[in-house]
Amino acid sequence: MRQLAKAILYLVFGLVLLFCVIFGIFAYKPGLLINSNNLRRIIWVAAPTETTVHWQQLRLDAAAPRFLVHEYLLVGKDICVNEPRLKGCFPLVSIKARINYRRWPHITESIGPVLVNGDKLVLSLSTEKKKKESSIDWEKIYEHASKIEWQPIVLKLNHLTIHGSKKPIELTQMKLALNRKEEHIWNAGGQLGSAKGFPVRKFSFDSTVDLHPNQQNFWQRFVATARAETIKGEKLALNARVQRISQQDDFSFNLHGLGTRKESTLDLDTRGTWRHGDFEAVVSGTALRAHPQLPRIDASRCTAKGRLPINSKERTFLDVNCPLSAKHNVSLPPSVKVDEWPDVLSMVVKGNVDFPHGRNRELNADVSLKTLPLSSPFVKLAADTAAHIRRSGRGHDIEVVKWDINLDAKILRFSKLVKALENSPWAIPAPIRSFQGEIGCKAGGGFDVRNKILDVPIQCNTDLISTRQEFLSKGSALFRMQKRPAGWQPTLDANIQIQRGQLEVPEIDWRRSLPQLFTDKRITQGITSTSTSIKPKFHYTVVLNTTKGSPIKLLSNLARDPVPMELKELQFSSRKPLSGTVIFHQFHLQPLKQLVSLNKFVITYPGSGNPALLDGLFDIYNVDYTIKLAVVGTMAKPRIEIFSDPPRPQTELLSAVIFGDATELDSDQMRSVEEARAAIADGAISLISMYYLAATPIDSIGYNPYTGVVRAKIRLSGRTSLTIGSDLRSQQSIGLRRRLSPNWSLETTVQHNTESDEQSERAMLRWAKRY
Amino acid sequence: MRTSSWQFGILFVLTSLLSPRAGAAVTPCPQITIEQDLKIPLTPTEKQLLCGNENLDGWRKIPLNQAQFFLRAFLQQRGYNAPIFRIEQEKLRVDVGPLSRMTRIIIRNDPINIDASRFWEPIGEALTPSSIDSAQKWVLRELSYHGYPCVQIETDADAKTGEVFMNVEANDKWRIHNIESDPIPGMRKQLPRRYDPFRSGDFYNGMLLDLSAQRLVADDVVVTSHFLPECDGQEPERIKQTLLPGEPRLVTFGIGFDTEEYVIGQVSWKNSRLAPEGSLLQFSALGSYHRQELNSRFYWYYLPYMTRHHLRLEAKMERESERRYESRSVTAKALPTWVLLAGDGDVTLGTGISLQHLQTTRGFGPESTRLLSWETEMHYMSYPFEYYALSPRAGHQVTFQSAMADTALGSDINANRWSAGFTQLWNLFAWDPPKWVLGLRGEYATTRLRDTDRSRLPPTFKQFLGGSSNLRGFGRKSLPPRDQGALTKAYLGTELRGNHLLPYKLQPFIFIDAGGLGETTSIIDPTLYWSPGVGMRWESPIGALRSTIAHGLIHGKEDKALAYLARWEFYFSLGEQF
Repeated sequence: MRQLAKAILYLVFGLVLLFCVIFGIFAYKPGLLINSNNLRRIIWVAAPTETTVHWQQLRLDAAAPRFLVHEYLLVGKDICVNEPRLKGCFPLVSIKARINYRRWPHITESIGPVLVNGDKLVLSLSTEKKKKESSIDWEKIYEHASKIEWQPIVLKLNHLTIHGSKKPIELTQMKLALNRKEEHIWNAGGQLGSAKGFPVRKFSFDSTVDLHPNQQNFWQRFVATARAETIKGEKLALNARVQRISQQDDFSFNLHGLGTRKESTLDLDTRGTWRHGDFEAVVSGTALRAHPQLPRIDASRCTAKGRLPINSKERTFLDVNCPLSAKHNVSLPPSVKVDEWPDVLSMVVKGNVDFPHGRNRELNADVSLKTLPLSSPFVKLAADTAAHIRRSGRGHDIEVVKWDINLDAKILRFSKLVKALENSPWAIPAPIRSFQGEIGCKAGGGFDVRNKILDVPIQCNTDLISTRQEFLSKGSALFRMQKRPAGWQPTLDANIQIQRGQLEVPEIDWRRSLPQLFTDKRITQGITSTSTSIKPKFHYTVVLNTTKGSPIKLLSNLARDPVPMELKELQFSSRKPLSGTVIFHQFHLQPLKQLVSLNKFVITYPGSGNPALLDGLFDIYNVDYTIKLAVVGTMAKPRIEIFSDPPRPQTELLSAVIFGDATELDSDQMRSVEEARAAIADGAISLISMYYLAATPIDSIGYNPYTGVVRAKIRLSGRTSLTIGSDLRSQQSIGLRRRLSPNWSLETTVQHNTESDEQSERAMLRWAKRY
Repeated sequence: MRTSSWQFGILFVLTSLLSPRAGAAVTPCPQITIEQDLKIPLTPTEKQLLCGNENLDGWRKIPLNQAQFFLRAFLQQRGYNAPIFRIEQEKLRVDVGPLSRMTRIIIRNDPINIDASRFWEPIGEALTPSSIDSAQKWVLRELSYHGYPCVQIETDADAKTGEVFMNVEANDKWRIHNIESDPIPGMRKQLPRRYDPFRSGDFYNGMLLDLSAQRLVADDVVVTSHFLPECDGQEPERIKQTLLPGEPRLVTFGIGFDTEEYVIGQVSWKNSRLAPEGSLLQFSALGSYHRQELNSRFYWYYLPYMTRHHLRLEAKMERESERRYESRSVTAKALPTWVLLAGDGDVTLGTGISLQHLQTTRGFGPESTRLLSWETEMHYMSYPFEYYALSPRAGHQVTFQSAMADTALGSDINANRWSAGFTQLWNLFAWDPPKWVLGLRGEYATTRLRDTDRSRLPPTFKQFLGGSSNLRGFGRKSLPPRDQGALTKAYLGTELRGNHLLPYKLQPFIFIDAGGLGETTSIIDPTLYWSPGVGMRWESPIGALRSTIAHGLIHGKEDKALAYLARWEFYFSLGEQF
């Protein structure tokens, strides 16, 4: 037994001795163990089958400056890795480290310098989501690392390709360097020569961090500068300084960023503090040429306060109050020339964001933008908008719960607006353009998020006047934007009350044909292809009313007095035909042949697309009686009824209307009267034609019921005459008769001589009288 | 084919004259320039709407976009449907663009299958609202002529292709059976129906209704008349006839121009509404260089109900002075007359006694002759021929006349006269309005003598040719060359007239007339007289003026003897439709 114990003791001793010898040999000559061949064997055994590593040269040199203190230098050349996630070669890897076995277990005394040169590396990033790793205790790691003497660590990669879920990113001439400058001060820097498939083309940074591993405050200060250039040519320079200000994790920060993009520049300076998740920041900055319409935006002392606790389940909130001043170039077409348009817009943006139950959960936010009133001799403008934004605890979508808009705009000098728009496509048309005065509008509304409806009630009024015209009105409208499957559908429902109005009508030369003011919709430019996408159209409804007792007065050369026109619920709509009523009250027509006055004329638009209904009554004053001319029926087919007080035969009345005298008519005049009567009975006489009949010296009237054309020959001054109406010229009849004057006519008739069986035509100047 | 340089020259001149003028710009006001000349200039009202009016506060200045809006409408009225507007230096410049021209009329849901290509007039013309209206009116007229007086037409036009589309909404085809006429004082209610060229129950035809109204007016029964279909009426197919009766008696005095008589004067008294049946009594006196006459006629509708049948009583005193003779005559006629509707025309048939006392004071003919003859007249005229009498284009007419005088009945001579004639017009290719009208007319007349010396024949029994009414290459009634006239004549003429080929309603035509005369009853001598010629017709506001130039030619054994008759003859006439 004793022998056995002895033998075991020897054996253990021998083994220890053997271990010490081997350890000593390897400690002094590590190359005997860690050499190229052994590493290949280890990799061959340990590495997965799809992984291969090979190199051209791998050498480990060791030196022992002191007992149990060894310095190792691992130098590898052309180490190539072929592994599923990394492929490529490292032309040179040089790692130097000093091991002090006496400091067991922290035997690593120094690391560095480390130099890794990589070339043509391909890194494949897994697209699968990694399981959340357990949190790493960086402070503990750093505590160990800080006990090591670090020499510069440099990683140089000539070409690195990164494959991920999207298109590959190619980085070239990338360099990362870590250097410990002082005991607690670390410096990290890097640069990227160029990149492809990545928004940033060039990048460099340099940072210094003050770390104290053994203290309660792990870090003290962080200073960094970074420069980046994107593939779009944008340049960004960032200076950041973060300084711990208390024993806890409170710090102050000062960030300064300068970004340029083409001609645009953004210069932002942010200073603030962070205390236990509560933060305060003041942001100032200037954006130059950020937008063509906004050449300069200044933010001075925008304040942001809030709480962003480390524990994400605690309440988080942010309050912003940001006065902005923007110089704006209103994007008006070159044809619009506004001299006194205010060019600086001042506004205040306020907002607060509240996560009452921590981040990633319920969110409430209120954002408002208020412009300070703009004022110029031409226009006065103020607007504000506020929105309440919310995310419910269940869903993840942020929704705008409420959005209010308020606008107060006033055109102080309408004439300026006329002048500004004069040569633009939106020029104010005649006769409105001659007005001077004000137009004011106030709008205020909100957005119903649930129904996706933006309602903006608008109140407007006009106070316009000119030498002979005026237009005073009040209007209210509701502008609505509603979300439809095809997009946002804008609608406008307006109600305009015209309090007082007087407008000029252009002079009508009734001796000539009346001009056609609107294009004939029957003529089109070919068949337009119907678009497959249904784009929401702008729908509008405008209702016009005149104030009771104050109709619009129309000034016309055809009327002796202003023509009073009353509008009752006259509705223009994009969705349905015109509806409402237009009433012309009593006025006298311009005295020509006889005194004619309009008693009342009512045009009722049914709103169904059917022609407007007419109800008019003209009074034509005769010596013995008053002729009443009633216009009924529809606008498309007016019917004219003639009667008198006291009653007289219709033919006599019509004679009086056309010729002014019902007693001494020759047969041709009687014929004209009857033709007119036939035309009236057939509904072929329009209101304009009736005006001619009542207002002008009529020579003769002819009517063709088959074409519905009324021909009226009107005596004008001197020897001239005018024929109104046209006929199919080829239609001829069995006789022609041209009236020259009372009882005199020129007649052409076809004669057939029964004896000679010859046909001839006879033209005669004829005087005729019936009795 | 070779073309010489002078042909090119002519082509160039013609092209320069006929091609539209590359006109100068139109500048209605300094701020607006229309780069091309407008064929139809702007009216003062249009200029005011484009350029403003200094006298109107509100219209002193028109902004360019408003002027553009108005100008677009004004240009559309002139056929420019794709103008290009440019605003340069606060001035509006307008390139009026191409002139849209109407190329085709396409009618949909047309119940009568109208061949719209017949309506050629607006084709090639500017596509304007008025040209579309014109096309629409033409379709309306065509439909009204074929039983559809109440239709709705929706029209639209494609300015790029020039096509005009019309969608017709027609109700049922109308028949004429419910005409309500205004009363004519003292007349039977059915009096206007006497003039109807249709029967009750016929399909509605606007042309025939219009013809009825025009007959009423032409006979001076009424001053004017119209038929108005009551499209919106409660009763179906109801037609209202408006009538202005006027006073029944008419006195006229006239001075004028007649193609046969040259300058004429006429005095007339007429009562068109004698008795409730609407008999006509007229006294008139007419005087011209050739003829002076006193006339009285009485168309007696003696039956106590409304009928077209009447007794025609006429009495006439006449002095006639022709180149070859001068005569005086007193004539009295009594002819019961029937007017019948036959197909697309009316037949007028009259037969009765004519008593004439004739005295020849100069030239050939009996010094004094009393004729008591039995006369028969038959005249058929189609409605289109009658309706378009002043501008002949289609239809036909046929006439037949006979007069039989016998000494046994108290006449101084025994002689019979027969004549028949026809006129046929074709609207070639059925264009509307017609482009080419081809006419053919013929006449045959003969006189048979029984135991009567030829020298005792009055002129009405003798046959002549020549003049603007038949052989236009010979002088008026210059054939036969011998003064006593012929006993038989035959004539056949044809004419081709081009309508709307020349401006100003000038209508050129070519014709050829041929005729023969016979010295014996029924037989035409072998000598052929013929005359090719050309002419020009102008539809003036007072009627058609015609001028012809033709050369008389003679073939036959007497051609050398009659060579002096073969010469150019120029005629200028009013009327003479064909």
